[in-house]
Amino acid sequence: MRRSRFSAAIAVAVMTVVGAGGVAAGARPAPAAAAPGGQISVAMLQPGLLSPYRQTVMFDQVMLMYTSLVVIDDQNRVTMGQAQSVTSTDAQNWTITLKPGWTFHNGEPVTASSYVDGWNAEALKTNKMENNGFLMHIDGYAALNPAEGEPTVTQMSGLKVVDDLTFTVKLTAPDGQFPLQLTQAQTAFYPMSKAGLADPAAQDTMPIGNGPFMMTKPYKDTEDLELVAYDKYQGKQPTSGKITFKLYADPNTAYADALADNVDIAGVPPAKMSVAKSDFGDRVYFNAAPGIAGLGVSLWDQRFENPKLRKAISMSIDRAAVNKAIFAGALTPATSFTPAAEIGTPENACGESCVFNPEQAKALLAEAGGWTGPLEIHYPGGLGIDEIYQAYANQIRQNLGVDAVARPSTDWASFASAREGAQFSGLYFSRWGALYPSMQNTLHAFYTKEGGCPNCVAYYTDEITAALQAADAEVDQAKAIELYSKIQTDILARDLPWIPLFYETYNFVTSTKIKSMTAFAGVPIYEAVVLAG
Amino acid sequence: MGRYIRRRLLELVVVFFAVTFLIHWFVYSLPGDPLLTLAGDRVVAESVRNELSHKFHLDRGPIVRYLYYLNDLIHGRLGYDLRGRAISDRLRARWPITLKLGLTAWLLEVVLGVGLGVVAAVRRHRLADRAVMLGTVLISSVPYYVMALGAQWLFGMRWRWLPISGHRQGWPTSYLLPAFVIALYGLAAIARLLRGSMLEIDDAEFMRSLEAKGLARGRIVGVHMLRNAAVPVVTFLAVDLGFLIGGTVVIEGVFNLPGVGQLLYGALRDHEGPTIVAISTVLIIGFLVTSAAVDILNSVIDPRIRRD
Repeated sequence: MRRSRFSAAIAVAVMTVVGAGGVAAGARPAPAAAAPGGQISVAMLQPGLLSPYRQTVMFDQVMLMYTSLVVIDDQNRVTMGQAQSVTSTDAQNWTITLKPGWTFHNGEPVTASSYVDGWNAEALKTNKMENNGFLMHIDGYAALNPAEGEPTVTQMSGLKVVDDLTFTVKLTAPDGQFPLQLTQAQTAFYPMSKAGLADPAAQDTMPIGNGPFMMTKPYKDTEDLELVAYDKYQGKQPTSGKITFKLYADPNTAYADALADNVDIAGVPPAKMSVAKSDFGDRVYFNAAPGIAGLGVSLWDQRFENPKLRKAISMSIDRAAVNKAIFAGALTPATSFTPAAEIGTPENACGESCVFNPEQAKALLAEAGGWTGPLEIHYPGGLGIDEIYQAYANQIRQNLGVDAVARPSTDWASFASAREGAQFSGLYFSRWGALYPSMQNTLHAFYTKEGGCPNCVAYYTDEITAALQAADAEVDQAKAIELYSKIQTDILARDLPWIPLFYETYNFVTSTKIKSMTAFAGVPIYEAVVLAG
Repeated sequence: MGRYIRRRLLELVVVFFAVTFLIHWFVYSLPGDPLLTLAGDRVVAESVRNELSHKFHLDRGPIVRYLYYLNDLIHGRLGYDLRGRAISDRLRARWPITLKLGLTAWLLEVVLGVGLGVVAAVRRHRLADRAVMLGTVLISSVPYYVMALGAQWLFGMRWRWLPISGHRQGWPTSYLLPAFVIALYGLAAIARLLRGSMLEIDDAEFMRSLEAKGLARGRIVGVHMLRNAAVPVVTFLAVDLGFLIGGTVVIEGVFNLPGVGQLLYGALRDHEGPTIVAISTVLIIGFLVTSAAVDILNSVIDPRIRRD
């Protein structure tokens, strides 16, 4: 697992231009001389919409077609992308200056209006954009999204164009992590060309971006998706001239095709985790991701009120044994409440509660008054994760002497609804994958009502709300990291409202054509893969 | 004859309304809010969810929703999926793939199934008959999925005759292997059905008269026996055509063909109500029309049916 070594190194003050390409020198491998002619193919499952304001499963493709304002590099460092600088003195009023001379794929210049107009259109309720909610912390968002009736305004009061290359953003509350929210996986914060604003539906099949790759024809969802290098791109040049996303229905077929060198990069399906190493040797990548998985606790049920009970359950699970048996040792057992891939995550914030200790677990259970009847672990069925939840149930049954049973739902939607309506009781599937590597993202998702994580826990106390607000308000990143860490060690470790299990990895295999590749937040940086030969 | 056809068409209309209403009702009463899954394990903003809920009449009762659907259908519209894409466009891209797969499989079934059935019947109780009988039992007892993977391994990976995934090489190359796997099951059924039905007829009295008349064996088998034995087989083939077009989900998945089956599977997984209903509607109409056509065809082949 990659640990963050950059905890104190990202003060907002240093977030100014880092070389013309916007990426620190040496962060990515230099492209081979013959590279622009090179082509790679990537397996793609389940195609969706491509507009950055609407996509929910097309991150890889959309990230290649746009360059975000701020870019996290393969070493988890914050660098500038389309932005020249992102600055603030009070963490609430931000000034964003753009690099000059950049253009969209259709030749239009990228200006401050490309952002302000794009975000306004995205935030307007009646446009029904899926990623609308990402903008909710911009001042004026609420006026565009009234609970009842039509909005009376179409522009957020918090966005102002200063000049062609400068605009300001006023947030609803101070937020020192705002620059990290402008990074590449947060596609809601991408710019929109004038042509794109005029014809939003066209962006769903052929977005006009400002990134290194572009489309030459609209996408049909029964075909492969082809991206070609944009020759007027102002950032770092990609190592290949064309990337083809090949459509697969079954991840196992994609995996087999990678083994046969028919596709260059494919994901590893859960069933192949244990054989991937023997199939692909050193062409397997278990990339540390800013995701964390654990067990939710139905805090709405009084029987789970005692933190000792929750700790007893946590201590009865031998994470290392599950990791070895189910995940081929690819994951890292969690020792904190935020993934290690998030900048500044402390080690062992969870303390002894996350360490396997069956004796103490039993003692704690007895202190909490024991448990009668079955203890159900609910999880969404049909995702191929049954084995994992059976293993957790076995662990709790064997080590705690509680009758734990794994209970699948029929599918994802029914699980999500049952969870939202608090229709079951016990432990449940719970995970969160952050789209930007700040502890803020995971902590907000879990412990604020508007966090947007339906599968997290309903643990919304005044104490943690105040602590989060204080950490958010900090412009100095080192201080912010300290405060976010303190929330974990002081509040979460004490109450253990949620049981951390594993830091997630995003897993990939490559054909023999790929020599090496790096990753951002677990996802391959396709534009920088190094080709063999 | 005219009365028979009119009655048959009336039945068709009644069945159509009953079935579409039931599907509609079931799909929208599945537990789980489809709008919750629009963004995976994230949530879509409340305001947008409300807006979509209103647009797709998810905030209305089942009868109102069904009436909206009928209104769309009368105007020839299949509606939009929850992402706002026209379902007819999505289907238009996928029908060619599913139809190519289904029809190729069906053709293989007809040619091989009828051929094997006739051979088995003519050579009854001899080696060829026994081989056909044993082979078809063997095929029927292997699960679909295993057969598909086995065929991929043998023809695709070991012998490298045919591609195992996708439709990049077009028809017929990309479709032969999946179609063959599907056809195996149908042809096994057809061969057995036809053999049984032909043998039954072989024992009929009129067969002896034909033989006594001195008619050539080939003519007896080809014209009299086959025509009389055809009714159950034609019925099976028609029903199977409907099944092939709607029920190739597994094969489309294994062989990575983005057809209607895959779209339906994805829609079921995501509780995509509008898409499930639209695809079902098209399939039901296709199914009802073919089965009505078959009944009418059968009544031509065998006039006794009309008198029922």
